[in-house]
Amino acid sequence: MTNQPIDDVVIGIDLGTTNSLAAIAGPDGPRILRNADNEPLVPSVVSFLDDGEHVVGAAARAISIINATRTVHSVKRLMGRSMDDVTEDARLLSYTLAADTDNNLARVAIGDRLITPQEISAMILGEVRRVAEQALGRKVEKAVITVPAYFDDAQRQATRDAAKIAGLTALRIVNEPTAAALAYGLDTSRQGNVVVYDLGGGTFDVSVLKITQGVFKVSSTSGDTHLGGDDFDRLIMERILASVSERTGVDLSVQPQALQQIRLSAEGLKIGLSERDEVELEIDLGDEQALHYSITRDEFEAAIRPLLERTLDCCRSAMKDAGLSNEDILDVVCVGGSTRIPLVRQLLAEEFACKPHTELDPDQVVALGAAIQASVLAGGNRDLLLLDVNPLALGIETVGGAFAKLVSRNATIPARATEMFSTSVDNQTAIEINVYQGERELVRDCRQLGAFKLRGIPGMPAGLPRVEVTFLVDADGVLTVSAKEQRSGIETAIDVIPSHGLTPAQVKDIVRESIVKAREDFGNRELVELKNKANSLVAGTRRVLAMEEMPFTDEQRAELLADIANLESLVQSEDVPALKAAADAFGEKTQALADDAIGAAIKAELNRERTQLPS
Amino acid sequence: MTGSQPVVEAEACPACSEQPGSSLACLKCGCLLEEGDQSDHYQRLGQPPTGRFDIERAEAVYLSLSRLLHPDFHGADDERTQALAVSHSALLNEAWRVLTDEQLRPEYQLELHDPGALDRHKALSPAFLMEAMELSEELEEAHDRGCKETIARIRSEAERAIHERMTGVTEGCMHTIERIAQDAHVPGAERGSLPSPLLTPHQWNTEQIATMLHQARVYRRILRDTETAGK
Repeated sequence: MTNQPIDDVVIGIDLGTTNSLAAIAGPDGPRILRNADNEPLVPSVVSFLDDGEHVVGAAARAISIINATRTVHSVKRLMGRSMDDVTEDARLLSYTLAADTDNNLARVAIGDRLITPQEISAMILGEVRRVAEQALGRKVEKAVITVPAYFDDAQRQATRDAAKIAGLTALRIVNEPTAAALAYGLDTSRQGNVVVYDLGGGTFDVSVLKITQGVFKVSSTSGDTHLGGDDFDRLIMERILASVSERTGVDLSVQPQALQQIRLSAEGLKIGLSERDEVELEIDLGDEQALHYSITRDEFEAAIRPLLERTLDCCRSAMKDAGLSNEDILDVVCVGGSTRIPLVRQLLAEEFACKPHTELDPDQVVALGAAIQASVLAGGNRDLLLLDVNPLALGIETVGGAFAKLVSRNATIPARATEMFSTSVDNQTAIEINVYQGERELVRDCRQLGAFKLRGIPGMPAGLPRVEVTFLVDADGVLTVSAKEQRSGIETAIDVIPSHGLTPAQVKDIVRESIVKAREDFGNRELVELKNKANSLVAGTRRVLAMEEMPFTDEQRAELLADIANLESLVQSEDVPALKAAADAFGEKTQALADDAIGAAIKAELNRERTQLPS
Repeated sequence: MTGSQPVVEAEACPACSEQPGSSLACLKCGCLLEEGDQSDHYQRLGQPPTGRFDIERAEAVYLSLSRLLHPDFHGADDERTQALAVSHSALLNEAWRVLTDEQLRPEYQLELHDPGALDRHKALSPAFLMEAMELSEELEEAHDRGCKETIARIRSEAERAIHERMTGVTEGCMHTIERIAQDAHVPGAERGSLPSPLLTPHQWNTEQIATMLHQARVYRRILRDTETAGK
C-alpha cells in the first residue's frame, strides 16, 4: 500500500452562514475545539473599523448594531454569486453590495473599498484557525472544509479560494450532510439507507446515503442554497417592520442600525419559540417610547410552513433519484440549527414515519464529521470512505444553445467525461468551450461556470484536429478540464475564465496582498490609486495636446510635456509623497486645460456643422 | 464476494504476480495498475462480459476498489500516483454507473461487440416517431388541462413500452442466456432481474437490438416527462 500518514494536524471546519467552528478527531473520536471562554462557535461576522482594521466573530457581532453598515454577516450567501443572484438578499442586508465592474460579481462595499466574499470568508476562517491553534497549542495549516451539498462549482471554488487566502490548505471540500452522516455513523455503525436533513442558517440540503461496511456512498442529493434560518428570521423581521410602520408610520427598513437590531431580535424570538408558545419583544423607540410586539408559535409555524414544504419537496425528489421509497429508509438525521424548530421535526417524522435522530448537537455535527474526514485524509483512519456525488449536471453548449450533459447529476465523484472537438476554419489554433451547470435543456436556463479556451492546437485544415477534452470533477466536486490533440499528441494549454469566481491570478493577487500587513496594505492601495490617477491625467493631457483646435504656444506645449515626463518617472519610482504632490499640482493645472479643451471641441463641432450646411 | 474463481482473464499483477481481479488495481495486493488501451468497464469491475450481471458481486468489487483507488487515501503519495488515483476512481465510478443502469448497460454491451452500431442504426421509423410524438402531444395537453388520469395512463403506457423493448433486447438472445446459465450453474440466472445481452457478434441482430434500445430511450424520456407533468 502506498498510503503514508501525513504528519501535520488536519482539522475539520464547518464554515457556516451564521456560525463557524472547528473540530479535530483523535483516538477517542472527534471533539469540538473551543476558545478560552469555552465557546465553540465563531459567529460568521466581520466588522470593519474606520482605521482599516477588522474584527471577526463574537467581537464583530457585539458591535454589529453601532457599526451596522460596516458589519458583514451571512457572507456565505454571496460566495460565487453575481449581483443578479443576490438582489433579493441585498434588500435586507445592513451593509451595501456592489457589482464587480469586470464580471458583475457581488462584492461588499465598505466605504470606498470593495471586498470579495472570498476575502471575508478568509477572515472568518482565520479566526476559526486561531481558536483551533490556541486549543491545540500548535500550528494548523491544513483543513477539511464543509460546504452545502447543493453548492455549485463556483461556490465550491470560492470556498477553496477563501481557504487559500486564509493561508490554509483545504485538503478536501466535503458536503455538509455527508459529514454529518459520518459523525452519526461512527457511534452506531449502522448499515442501510440514511436521509440527512440539513437546514442551516442560509442553506438547505438533503442527502440520501447508503452505508455499507464503512463506505458512505451518497445515492442522491438535493437542496436549495437559498433557504434557511435566515429566511425564518426575515419573515419575523418583516412582521415586526410592518407592525412598526402600521402603528407609527415609520419605515425602519431604511435605517441600517434599526434593521440590524431587529434582525437580532427576530432571531431571538425564533429561538424562543422552539421552547415557548408565545414570545414578545419591546422595541425602544427612544424618548421613553417603546413598542410592544408579540408572536405565537402557531403564527410562526403558519409563516414558515410554505418554506418547510419546499424542503420536503427536495426530500421527495432526492428519494426518487435514489430509487428508494420511504420504507427503505433506516434513519433520518437532523443537522443544522433550524432543525431545533419543533415543526421541522414533526414534519420529518410524518414524512418518513420514524423519529428523526437529534442526539448530536445540530450545530456541531457537521464539524465533527469534517474532523473525522480530516483524520481519514491525514492517514490515521482507513476504516471509513466517503463517496460523494456531483449535485448538478455539468455540460457544454452545443448547436442552437442546447445543453449537452457530460457529467450527470448524482454521478459519484471523482467523475469524468470526454468529448471530441475540432476546428471550423483552416489553421485555427484555439477553441473556446463554454461549460454550464444545471438541469435544464437549454444553456440559457443553466448557470455558466466559465469559458475554457484551448490554445496551442497545431495548425491544420479545418475539421482535421481531433481535440479530446477531458472534464474531470474531482473529489471536492470541482471541475478541471484538460485537452489533448490526438493526431499530434500535443497537450493544449487551457485558460479558464470563471463566470462567477476569481481567476487563479486574482486569487494569487489577493493572497499576495493579504500577506502584506494592514498598514502596508493601505499604503499599497494608495499607491495603486495614485498611479491610476497619474496615468489617466497623462493620457488625458496627451489627447488634448493632439487636438488641432487647441491654441497652445510652443512654451505651453513644452511645459506640459515636461510635466508629463516628470509624472511618468514618479509613477516608475513609486515614491508615494512625491507622486501625490506632483499629481495633485498637475491635476489643478490640467483642470483648466480640460475646460478649455471641452470648449474648443464644442466650438470646432459647431464650425464643422456650419460649413456642412448649405447657406 | 460470492464468486471464488477469477472472473477476468487479465495479465498478472506486476507487484504480486497474482490475478489482479480488475484492470484498475490489484485486489490481492492493493497496488494501482496502469490500464491498457483495451480495458473495458467489465474488466474494471472484474465482471464477466457475458452472463447475468451479478449486481451484488459487482458491488463488493466496486467498494473494495473504491477503498484502494479513492484520492482520500493517496494524499501523501507522489503527484503521479495522486493523478492516477483520481482518474482511476473516475473510471471506476463510470463503470459502476454504466453497468448498473438498465439502459446504459445493454447499450455499452452492444457497442463493445459492434462499435458504432448505435449510431449506425439510430434512424427510427416514421411510424414509430409518429406514435411517440402523438403520445408526447397527448401528455402535453393532459398537463395543460391538469388531467391526472390521462397522465397516469400515459405513464403506464410508456412503462409497458420500455419493458417490451428491454425484454426484446434480452429475448433476442434468450437461448444463449439459458445455455450459459446451464453451463455455469448459476441459479436464477434465467430469471435474472438485470438481463445482459449475451450473444457473440455474429449472433447479434445488431440492427434490431440497436433500434429497440433507441426506442426505449424515447419512451424513457416520455416517462420522465410524465413525472414532471404530474407535479
